[in-house]
Amino acid sequence: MRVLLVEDSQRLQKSVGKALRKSGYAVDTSGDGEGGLWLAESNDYDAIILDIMLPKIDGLALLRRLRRQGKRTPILLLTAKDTVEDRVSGLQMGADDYLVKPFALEELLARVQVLCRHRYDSKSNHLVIADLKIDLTAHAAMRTGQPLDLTAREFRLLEYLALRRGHIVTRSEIETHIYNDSMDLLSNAVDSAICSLRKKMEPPGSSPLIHTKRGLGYTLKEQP
Amino acid sequence: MKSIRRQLTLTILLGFGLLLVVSSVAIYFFTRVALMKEYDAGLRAKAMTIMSLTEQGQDGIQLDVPNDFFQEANNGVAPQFYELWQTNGTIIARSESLKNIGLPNRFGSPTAPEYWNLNLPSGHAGRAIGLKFSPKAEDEDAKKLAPVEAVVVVAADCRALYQTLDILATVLALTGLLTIVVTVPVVNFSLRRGHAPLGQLARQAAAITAGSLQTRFPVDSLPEELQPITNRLNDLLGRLEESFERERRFSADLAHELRTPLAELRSLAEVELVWPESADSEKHRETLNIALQMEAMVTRLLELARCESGKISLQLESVLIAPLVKEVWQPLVHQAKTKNKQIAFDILVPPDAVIQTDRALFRSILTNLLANAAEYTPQNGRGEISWNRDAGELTVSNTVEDLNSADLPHLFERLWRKDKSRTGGDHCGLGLALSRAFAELLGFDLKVRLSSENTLTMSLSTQRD
Repeated sequence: MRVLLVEDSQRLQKSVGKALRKSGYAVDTSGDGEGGLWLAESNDYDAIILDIMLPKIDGLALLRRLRRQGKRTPILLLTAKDTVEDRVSGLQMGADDYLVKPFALEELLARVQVLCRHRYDSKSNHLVIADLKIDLTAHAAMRTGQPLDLTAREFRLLEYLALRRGHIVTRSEIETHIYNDSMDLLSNAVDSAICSLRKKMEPPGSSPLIHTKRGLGYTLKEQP
Repeated sequence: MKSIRRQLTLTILLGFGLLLVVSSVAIYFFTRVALMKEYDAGLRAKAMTIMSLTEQGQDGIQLDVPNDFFQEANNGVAPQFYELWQTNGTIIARSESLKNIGLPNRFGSPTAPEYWNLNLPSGHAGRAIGLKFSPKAEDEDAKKLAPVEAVVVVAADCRALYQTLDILATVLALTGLLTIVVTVPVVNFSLRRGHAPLGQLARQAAAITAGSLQTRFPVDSLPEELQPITNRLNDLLGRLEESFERERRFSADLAHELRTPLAELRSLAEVELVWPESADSEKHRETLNIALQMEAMVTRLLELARCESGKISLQLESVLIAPLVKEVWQPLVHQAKTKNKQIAFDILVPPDAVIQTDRALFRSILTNLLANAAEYTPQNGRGEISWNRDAGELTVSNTVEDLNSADLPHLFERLWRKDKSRTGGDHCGLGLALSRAFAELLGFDLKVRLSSENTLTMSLSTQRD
C-alpha cells in the first residue's frame, strides 16, 4: 500500500513516516502543500494523510483541487484544529476521515488501514480466498489453518493481491504500492518477493493461489 | 444592610413629620394670637364703653351703666367683670359678679391699654384689660373743675377661648398623627414602585453569566435617572465581553499551538516504544528541541502575563543604544549565516546615543525586533536600525515578502503568524506582543508601517505624543 504524508512539521513527518514504513506501507512525504499536490497528482496512492495548515497551499485547498480533478484517493485530515466546524468543513470538502493532533500512532495506522481497504471496496477485516485467510487487523495470514510467517512487506504484498483478487496486478503496480522510493529497487525485486511469498503460503501439495500472467503480472485467485 | 428605600422612607417621614409639627405649631400660634386679639378687642370695646360712659360731674366721677350692660356677665357661661377706680383708689363702680373680691389695679393708656391673664374671682382663668383715662365733663360747669383720672379694669372668663384653642391643638395633633400614619404606607408604596426598575435591573444583571456577556440592558424603557448608570453598565459589559472573547481566543490559540509539539512528542515516544531498535541519540535531541520550544512559549507567556499584570519593577538607568544593538545583533548574524542567509543590515545608531530606560526590558524589545528582522528579511534582502535623536525614535526596517497592509493590525496579536502552517519552530508568535507590552510598560510607543516597496518599519518612540 502506498501512502502520501503531507505534513509541515519535520519531526512529525519523520516519526509518522517511520511508523507507516515499519507497518509495511510505502510512504512518500512532502513538507508543503505545493509538493503534496504534485505528488498526489503524479501518483496513485492508496491513502493520503494531509495536514490542514501547510505552507504554500493549505490542506483544504489541496483537498478541494484533488476532488475537483476527480481523484478519489481516500484522504485523512491530520490537524490541530479540533472544533466541530473544522471537522465538518473538512469532511464536507471530501475528506474521508479526520484525526486531531496529538493522536495515538496506533489509531492513525488503523485509520490508514481502513482507508486503504475502502480503496478496494473491502469493508471486512478478514479476507478469505479458498483455504487462505487474512486478518487485516492482526496482520496475520493462515493457509489450511496453519499461520504463515510473513514479513511486513510480504504481508502488504499478500494483502494488496488479496484486495484485488481476481484482477491482474502488474509489477509496476506492486512496485508503486509496496516499495518505498528510498529503496534501491532491483529489477527482479517483485519477482523475488512473489517467489518468497509463494514458498511461504504454497507448501508442496497445496493448490497454488498466486498465478503468473506472462507479460502482464500476477493474480491471486482460487484455481477453478 | 443599608437600604435606600428604608433610608428614603425614614428621611421623608422625618421631614414630613417635622413639617407637620412646625406647621401645626404655626397654625395654633397664629390662631391663638388672632383669637386673643379678637378677645382683647372685645374687652377693649367694653372698657372703652365704660370709659365713654364715665363722666366727671360736680359730685365726682360717675358711671352711668345701662342695667343690661353686663347682664350677660352674670348669667352667661363667660362671666365678665369690671371695676372703676379714681386714681386715688376710690372705687367708683364695680360689677356685682365681683362680690367682695377686687380686680388688680393695673392699667395702660387708652391708646395702649394693658392686657393680662389672671385668675378670676370665680376661680377660672380669665383675661383683663386696664386703662387709665380722664373722664369727660358732665356739663359746662364740670369742665371748670380740676380734671381727675380714673382707671377701669374689665375682665372676662376665657374658658371658652381656651377650650377652642385646646380643640384646635387636639385636632392639629390628631390630624398630624393620622397624616404620618397614612404617609408611611404611601411613601413605602411610592418608593417601592419608584425602585421597581432597579429591581428589574438587578434581576437582569443576576441572569448574566460568562456565557451571556453579549446581553445588554434595555435603556429606553428605564427612568431618566437610571439611564446614565445603565449606559455605563452596558459599556462595562461590552468591555467584559471583549476581554472574555480575547481570553477565550487566546486559550484556543494556545491549545492549538501546543497540539503540534505534543503530537511530535507523542509520536516520537510511540515509535520508540513500538520499534525500540530504531532508538538513537537524534531522537533524544529532537525530544529536547520540542521541550525547549514549548518551554520558550510558556516562558514568554509568563513574561507577558507578568507584564500585563504590572508585576515587573523597572530599574531605570542610562543605556547606550549602539553597543546594545551590536550585542543583540551579533548572534542573529551568526544564526543567519548557519542558514546560509545573506542579509545586508546597517546599524545607523550614533555611538553616543543614550536612553534613560530599564536595560533588561529595552534589550528584550531590541532582541525581538531584530530577531524578527533577521528571520523575515528574504534572502539578499536589506535592513537597518537607526536612531532619530530629535524625535527620540528608534526604527528597525527590513524588506519583507508576503506581507500586506491587512496583516499589520495582527502583527502585535498574541500567537499570530502570517504563515498559518507554524512551520518555523523557533518562533511562536509572541515576540511582538511582548515587545509592545514592554514598550508600554516603559512608557514608549511601538508602531508598525509597511511601505509600498515592501519595507516593514517598526518605530519605537521614546517620547509619547
